[in-house]
Amino acid sequence: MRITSDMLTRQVLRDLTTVMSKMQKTQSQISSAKKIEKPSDDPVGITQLLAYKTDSAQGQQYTNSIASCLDWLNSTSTTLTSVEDNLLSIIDVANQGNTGLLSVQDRSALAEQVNQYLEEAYSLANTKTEGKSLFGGTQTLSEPFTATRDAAGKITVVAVSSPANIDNEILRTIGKDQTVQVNSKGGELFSPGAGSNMFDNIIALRDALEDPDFDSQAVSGIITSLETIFNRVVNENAVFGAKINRLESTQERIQLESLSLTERISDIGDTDIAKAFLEYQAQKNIYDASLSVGSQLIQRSLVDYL
Amino acid sequence: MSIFGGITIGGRALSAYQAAMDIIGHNIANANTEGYSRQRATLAATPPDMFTCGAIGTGVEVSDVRRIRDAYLDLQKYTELGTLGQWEMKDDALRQLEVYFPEPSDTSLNNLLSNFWQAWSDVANSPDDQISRVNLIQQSLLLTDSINNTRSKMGQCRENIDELIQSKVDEVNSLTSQIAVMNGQILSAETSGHEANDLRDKRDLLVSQLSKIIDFSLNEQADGTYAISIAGRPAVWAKQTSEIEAIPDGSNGNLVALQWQDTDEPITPLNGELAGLLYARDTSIPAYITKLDALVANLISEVNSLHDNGYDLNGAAVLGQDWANFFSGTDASDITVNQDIQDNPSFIAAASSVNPGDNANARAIADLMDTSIVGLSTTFSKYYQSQIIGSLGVETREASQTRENESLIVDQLFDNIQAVSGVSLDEEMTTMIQYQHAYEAAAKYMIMAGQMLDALMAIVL
Repeated sequence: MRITSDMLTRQVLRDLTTVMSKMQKTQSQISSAKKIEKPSDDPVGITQLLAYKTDSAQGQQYTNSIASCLDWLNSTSTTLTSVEDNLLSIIDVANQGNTGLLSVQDRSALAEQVNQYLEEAYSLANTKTEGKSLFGGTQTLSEPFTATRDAAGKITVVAVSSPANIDNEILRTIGKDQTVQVNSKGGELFSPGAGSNMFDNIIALRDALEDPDFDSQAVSGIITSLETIFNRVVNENAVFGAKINRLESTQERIQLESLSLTERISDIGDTDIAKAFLEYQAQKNIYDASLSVGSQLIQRSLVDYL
Repeated sequence: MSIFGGITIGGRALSAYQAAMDIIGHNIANANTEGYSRQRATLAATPPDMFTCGAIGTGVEVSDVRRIRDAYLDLQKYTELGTLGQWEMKDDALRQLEVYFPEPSDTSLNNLLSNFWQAWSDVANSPDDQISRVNLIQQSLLLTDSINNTRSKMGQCRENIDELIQSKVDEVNSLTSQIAVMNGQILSAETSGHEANDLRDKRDLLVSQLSKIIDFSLNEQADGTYAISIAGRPAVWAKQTSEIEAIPDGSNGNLVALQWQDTDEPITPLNGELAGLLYARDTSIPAYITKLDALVANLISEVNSLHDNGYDLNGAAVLGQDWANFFSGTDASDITVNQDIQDNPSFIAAASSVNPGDNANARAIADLMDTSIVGLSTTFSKYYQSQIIGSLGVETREASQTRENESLIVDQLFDNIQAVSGVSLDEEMTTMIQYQHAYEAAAKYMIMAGQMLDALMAIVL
C-alpha cells in the first residue's frame, strides 16, 4: 500500500489529538476532584451517585426532625419533673395540715402555701417552648388552661380553654412511615374528669385548710387523689424518658448510615487523585514519545537527499 | 527513413518528457490540495514507420494524462461521511442538552428537589409559625425557577438547531448549483475526448462536501455530467438544479421542515447532518422535554391534591379559595408557587384541622418524597435520576462512541483513498529524476542527430 506524506501527517495529528484529549480529561478530573463530571461520563455511576445523595438528604431530613422532637420531649420532661416536685410539696403540706393538732392560724398559713403551689401548678401547665404551649394539644398558640379569679385575685376554677383540641396528638415524622407523638396530652394529664382533676383537688385542699370547720376526712380523700395524680405524672415522665432514649439511638443510627453513604458517594464520584496522577504521568510520557517520533517522521523526505 | 527522422524522434522525446515533468510539477504543487488526485502521464510510442526491414519506431508521445482515482472508494466515502455528519450533529445536540443538567452538583434539580422536601418537613416540625413557611416558599421558588430555566433552555436548543438547519439548506443549494456549473465546464472541456482531470477533482470535492450534509444517489452520465438525486427526486442534472428549502411547519411548533422549492414536496433525509439535526430536534430532545413535563405535572397534581384539603395558619380551610393550590401552572414551562401563597405564607395548608399545631397535611406532603407515584411508576427522585439523567447519560455516551467509531472509519477510508490518489513526494522525486535523465539523454541524442546532419551537409556542400 502506498504511503503518502499526507497520510503520515494526518496519522501524527490523529495520534497526538487522541493522547491530548485523554490528558485533558485526566487533568480535568484532577482539578475538579470529580471522576464523574457529567452524566455521559458514567451513566450507571451517576444514577447510583444521585440516589445515594438523595438517601443522604433524606437521612439529614429525619435527623432534623428528631432534633426538633428532642427539643419538645426534653422541655416536656423537664416541666413534668417540676410538676412532680410541686405535687410532692403540696402532698407534704396536706399531710401536715391533716394532723388534728393545728390552730386555725396555722392552717391558714398552710393554705397560703398551697395557694402559691396552686399558682405554680397553673403556670407549669401553661408552659410554652418557643412560644408554643406544651400541654395544649394542637392548639399550640393559646394557653390550654384558663383560671377564673375572685375579687381578691385568688384562683377559684381552672378550666380547659379548648376541650376539643387539648388531647390531640402532635406527631413528627422520624423515618419512613415512622411517627412519634411528642406532646403530653394536657387534658388527660391534668384534668381527665371529676375527682382526678389536679387543679380541682389543689383548690379544694386550699379551701379546706382555710375553712374554720376543718374536714379531715375530705382532706384525706384529697391526699389520696393527689397521690394518684402524682403517680400518673411520674408514669407520663417515664414514657417521655423512654421516647428520648429511642430517638437518641435512632439519631445515632442515622448518623452512622450517613457516614457510610458519604463514603460510597465519594467512592463513586470523587477522583482517586493518586491514581489520576499516575495515569497523567503515563499519558504525558506517551505524548512526549509521540511528539518526538512524529516530528522526526514528518520532517524527512527524499528531497533532503537530492 | 529521413535524417530528419532522428531530430523528430529527439524532438518528440523532449516535448513528451517536458510534458511529463510538467505533470510531476503539477502533482508536487498540489500535494496538499484537498481532493486532488495525482496525475500520471501515459507515455506511448508513436506509430512506427513500416520498412522492408520491419517497423522502425518514431518516438514517444504523451497519449493521455490519467487521474488516479478509485470511484468505488469515493462512493464509500460519501456514505461514511454522511453517517459521520449525522452522528456529529446528534452528539453535539445531546452534549448541549447535558450542559443543562449539571449533575452532580448542589444547584441542580436532584439537590433542589431534596431541599424542597426538607422545607416541607421543617414546616411539619414547626407548623405554627411563619419562619419555616417563608423558607418553604423560598426553596419552592428555587426549585420551580430552576425547572422553568431548564425547560426553556431545552426549547432554545431546538430553536438553535432550526437556525443550523436553515444554514445547512443554504449550503446544499449552493453546492448543487456549483456542481451544476462544474458539470457545464467539464462538458465543454471534454469535447476533445480526454478527461478534464482537475475540473473533475473539483467537482468530486463539492460532491464530498454535499455528502456530509445530506444523502443522495449519484449517477455519472455518458456525457460526463453528474446526475444527483435527493430523496428520489433529481437535484442536479447537466447544468440544471432543483433547490430545497426549509419552511416553518405549523404542526411542529413552527419549526422548519424540508421541502422542494418548486413542488413543495416534503423531503426526509436519511443520512448526513440534516438527518442528524432533524432527529435531534424532533426525537432526542423532545423525549426529555416530555419526561421533564411528566415529572413536573405529577409533582404539581400530587402536592396540590393534598394541599387542597388542608387548613391554613388562620384556621380556615383552603378548599375553594384562590390559594387552594400550592403550585400554579401545568408543566415545566410554567410551574411556579401560587402568587397568593407567595404574598401570604400563612395560607400554606400545613394542618388538616383548624388547630395551628396540627401538621398532618405538611407531613403527608413531605412523605411524598419517598412515595411511589402512580403516574411515574416510581418516586420523583428515582424517576429523575434514571429516566432523565441516566437515560441522557447513556444516549449521549452512545452518540459519542458512534461518532468516534465513525470518525475512525472515515479516517481509515481517507487513508485508503490517499494510498491510491495521494501525492507521495518521494515517489514524485524518483519519477522526476527518471524523466530528468531521460530528458538529458534525449537532448544528447538531439545533439548527436544534429552532428549527423552537419556531417551529411558537409559532404554535400
